[in-house]
Amino acid sequence: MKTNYVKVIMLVYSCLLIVAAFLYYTIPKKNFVVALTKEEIGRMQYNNEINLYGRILELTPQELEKAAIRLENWTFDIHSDSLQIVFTNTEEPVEVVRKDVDDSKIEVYWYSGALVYGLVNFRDQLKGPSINLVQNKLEIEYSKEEFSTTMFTKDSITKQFTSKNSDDYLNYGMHSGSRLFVKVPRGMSISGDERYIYINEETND
Amino acid sequence: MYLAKSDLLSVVKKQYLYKLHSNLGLFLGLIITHIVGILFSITTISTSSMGSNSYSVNIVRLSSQPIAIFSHIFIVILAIFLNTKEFKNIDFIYVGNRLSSSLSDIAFIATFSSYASFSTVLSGFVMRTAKFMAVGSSNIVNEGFLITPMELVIGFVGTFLYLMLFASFTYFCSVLLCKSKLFAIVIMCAMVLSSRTTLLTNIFKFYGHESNVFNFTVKVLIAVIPAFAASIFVYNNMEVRQ
Repeated sequence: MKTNYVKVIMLVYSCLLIVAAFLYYTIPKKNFVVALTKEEIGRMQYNNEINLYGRILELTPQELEKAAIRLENWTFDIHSDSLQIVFTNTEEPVEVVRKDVDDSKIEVYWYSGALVYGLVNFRDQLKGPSINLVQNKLEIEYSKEEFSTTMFTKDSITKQFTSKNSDDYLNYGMHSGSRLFVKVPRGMSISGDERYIYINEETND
Repeated sequence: MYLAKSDLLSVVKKQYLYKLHSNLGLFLGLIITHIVGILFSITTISTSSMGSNSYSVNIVRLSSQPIAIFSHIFIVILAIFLNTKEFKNIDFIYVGNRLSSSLSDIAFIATFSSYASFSTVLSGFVMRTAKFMAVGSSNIVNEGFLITPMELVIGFVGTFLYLMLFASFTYFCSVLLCKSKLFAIVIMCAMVLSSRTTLLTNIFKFYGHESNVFNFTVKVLIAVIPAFAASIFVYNNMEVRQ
């Protein structure tokens, strides 16, 4: 009687395992978060470093995509010759570029390099700051974002015979950083926390 | 000659079936251990994170590694248990000899290892399917989640070979301990010495760094066959009261 009881448990458990395996193979293998290879991570890091801190404002959308850099931009009309920049929740600097024309427009560009962790690139989920222009006050507000994902790691035996990605990269984290530019009309005066504001003149060469 | 061989095989078969039938509780123990392992893997979530002032990234890591570890612990305990007096008394049910007893033990170990590797490998599917149903594909990284049928077979074969490797070594040690308790000192000294030299590291590298399944199978057979043969030899040459 006891033996039969154990046999039933074994049978039920084995069936459960087989059903789980069957269900697993019926799962459509799409829409998963795609893991990067270590080569892709290396290439991304190189392209980010070369471009993000180079002449980034001059890159075309195609060049930005190729360099794995994301761009968000905003344009505001302004009818004042002074601009006050107000920061909230951030110590990220803003680079102010004076245009060589007075078009009464403020253009804001936010560039972000890859944010890689655990073989996943979170760059596209990383939101830029919230930018608002109220009269002559440009409000830049960052909100803290949280990303989470689930990663299965194979057991060491299966990994021994099948692993493609190096384990070293499972905990590899990389964020090339982000840059925020504010293009202002020629002759506009800028005020705000000077620790975070860098002013440049736009050049046409 | 032919008749003797046939008799031995039939006795081994009878002893094996009896051992299997009377020790189904061990399989139940393995199932309970694996269920605990699955729950342990799902609930004891390993997370790692990175972040800055503006973001934080959190990766939840799941693995069937604890289940594999539990299987190895279980097979070691089983290999020791097979040489206990209580278990050996089962052999007296049938008319046999020490050779048939050892061979039926090995067959039992092989059966148990097969079921343990089947359960270990498929437990990973339970975790994956459950997680997929809970959070959906958009929150799961494809790397590690996707297992091809070939990887499934390789996982099964690899786990089975490792279990047999562990079992054969432990079985040999437990036979030596049956022969004389003094072997406990010898085994302990051998383990301490090998851990202090590069021998143990080299053994781990010899098996752990082999990524070709065929080569690995050969390497395992090189160890398992002599270990079981030596166990049979030692057990055959033991005195009756031992």
